[in-house]
Amino acid sequence: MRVCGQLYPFSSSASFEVEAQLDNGKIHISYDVNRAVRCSLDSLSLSTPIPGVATQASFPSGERFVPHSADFVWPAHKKHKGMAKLEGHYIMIFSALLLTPLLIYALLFKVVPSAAVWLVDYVPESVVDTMGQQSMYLIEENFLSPTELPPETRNQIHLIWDEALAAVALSKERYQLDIYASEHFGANAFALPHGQIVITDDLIKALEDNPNAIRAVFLHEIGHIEGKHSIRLAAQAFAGTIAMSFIFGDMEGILELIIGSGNLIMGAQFSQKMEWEADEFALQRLTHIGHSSADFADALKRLKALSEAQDSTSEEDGTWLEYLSTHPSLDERIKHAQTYQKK
Amino acid sequence: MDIASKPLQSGASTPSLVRFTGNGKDFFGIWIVNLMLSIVTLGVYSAWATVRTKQYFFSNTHIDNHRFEYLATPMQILKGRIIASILLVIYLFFTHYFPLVGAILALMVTLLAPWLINQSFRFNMRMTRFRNVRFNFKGSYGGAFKIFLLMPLLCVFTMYLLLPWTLKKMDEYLLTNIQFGDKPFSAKLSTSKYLSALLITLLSSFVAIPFIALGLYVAGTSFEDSSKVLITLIPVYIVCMYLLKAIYQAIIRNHVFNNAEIKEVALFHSDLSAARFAFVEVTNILAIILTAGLAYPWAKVRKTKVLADATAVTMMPAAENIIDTMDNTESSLGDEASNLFDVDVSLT
Repeated sequence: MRVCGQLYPFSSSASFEVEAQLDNGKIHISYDVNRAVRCSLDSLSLSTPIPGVATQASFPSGERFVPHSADFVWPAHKKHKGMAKLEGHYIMIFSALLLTPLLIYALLFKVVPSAAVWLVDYVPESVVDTMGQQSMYLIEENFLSPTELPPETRNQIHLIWDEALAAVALSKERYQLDIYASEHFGANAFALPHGQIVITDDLIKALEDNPNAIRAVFLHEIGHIEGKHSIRLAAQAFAGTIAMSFIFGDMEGILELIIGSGNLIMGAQFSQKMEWEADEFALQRLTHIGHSSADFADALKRLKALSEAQDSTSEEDGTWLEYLSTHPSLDERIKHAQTYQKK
Repeated sequence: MDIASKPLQSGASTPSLVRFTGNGKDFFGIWIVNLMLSIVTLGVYSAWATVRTKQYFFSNTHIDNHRFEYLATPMQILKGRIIASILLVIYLFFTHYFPLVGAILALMVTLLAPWLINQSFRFNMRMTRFRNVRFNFKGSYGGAFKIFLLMPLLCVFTMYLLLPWTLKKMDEYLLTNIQFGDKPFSAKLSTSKYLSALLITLLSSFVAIPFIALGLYVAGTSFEDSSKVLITLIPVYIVCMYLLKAIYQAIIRNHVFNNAEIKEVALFHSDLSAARFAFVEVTNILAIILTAGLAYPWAKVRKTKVLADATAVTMMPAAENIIDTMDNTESSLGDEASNLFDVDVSLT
């Protein structure tokens, strides 16, 4: 058998147009004026076959031979072409086409979240504390200023807080309440993983006449801490980023974007789920300690009215939009709180 | 035919076009099968996928009937990815759980960046072979530190007035440190060309943005609902970025290729039309978005073909006598340490 191709002598850029002779398990190529190379076919080292690419053969003496035709198959590759066979096989391509989206879905929505839940159990208490304290330090430096509320209002709020803690039998050592003024957060409350809860002046002003609603807000935030939500969120983002970059590391920008948006949707869903869990916690504890779940509905209604008022007065103030985007629809949450007792 | 007009001296040759012989059908099979295996093996196979994809594209690129070769082994890529992943895990762990330590780490990563850039370039050059001769990259930490950290910083403090000069210096640094065998690349780039490329890109954005806004308005996009605004604006933003990037890249590519050479070995030529390249890039990205990624193999092959068609290389007679310096030095040194670091420490 004769095969046309290009021959490269050892370690030099010179090249020769040649015809290789394959007979009786041996290969023979003559090139240049009177040079030649020969060896048995078994001692050739062949490059990995790839569909549409000619497979190159290297001689033990260092010469390299590249056939012109991509269709030429070396005798050693006749039986098994390795991966190239799968990559060129219609059934394989078709099943990969069906399986890949399913696998991506399973990875993003099943494997990564359960890895995050698993990770949370292994995060030591000291890490949780450091994480909370460092986050609080950064938030305090950048977005918070000392409260401007009169001392009597503050005392009243702390009284509600102490009561709420006592009612759900949680220790005052583990949980701590702080009141701050913040332009950035507006009327808001948030919880840090080490047990610190921050409520802003604006939110207190909005709910001042309704202590029950404030208690409901506190319970919701405690629910976040009891459910280890920030750590789960961090673990989720962490596991997601690692999985994305390791598995899809080789993709060009746009594909990363498509898969990344899947990751983002997963994250948003996850944080919505956490809001529901915290709501559930607050509602359950409220009814347990003999208050009405309507308190929580009241607080939410007040927030809704406030956000609508803010939306219509100042368009550029996006803080509310931001806050709500990772939260489930307020209407749904209000409805849920109102109908909670039926369960 | 006037014989006198033909070049007679042996120093000159005619330019030959770069040919790309890959096709979307072959590459689709390679891509989808490798993608699936990468997911099933939780990323381990992605090293094999990378090597196979690069081999497909390199081996299908020809100049003068000689093809390029990609030499890295999957194990080298896998090692690099594992190192990079461990570094990423450490980095992410600290930024998520200890934000303060994370900030210090970010600074350290910045200082490490010049080394990583050199390392990645060196690896990729050494793993590229043409006509039996490997490329090499000779960049130093000091050089990369100056070009990729100090100069961009200087740019920020001069309100980006130095941007064209900085971009030119970056390209010059990367290009002139490449060697083909023992022959270095050289390039004479001009800052004014970079300035005009930036200005043309800026002007194009002034033309493109009103058109797109008008298109959205006609299409009846409502800007009232915030969630819908994002869903339309993100693809529009991506398309705009690809359009502008393509215009800039086409102008700069032509300039760089037409002014680069390997002395006495090769001259490079590029006449990529900015309008055509922008059209290809924008339609590619739209096809990828509309097919949720499935058009990617077709788009990548199409782009590579367009780039190859716009490129030519004049090979001079000395190209026949280049010695691959690395085959010799490496076998004689056989240095373990250099083997350990002979990995591309990156995830991309």
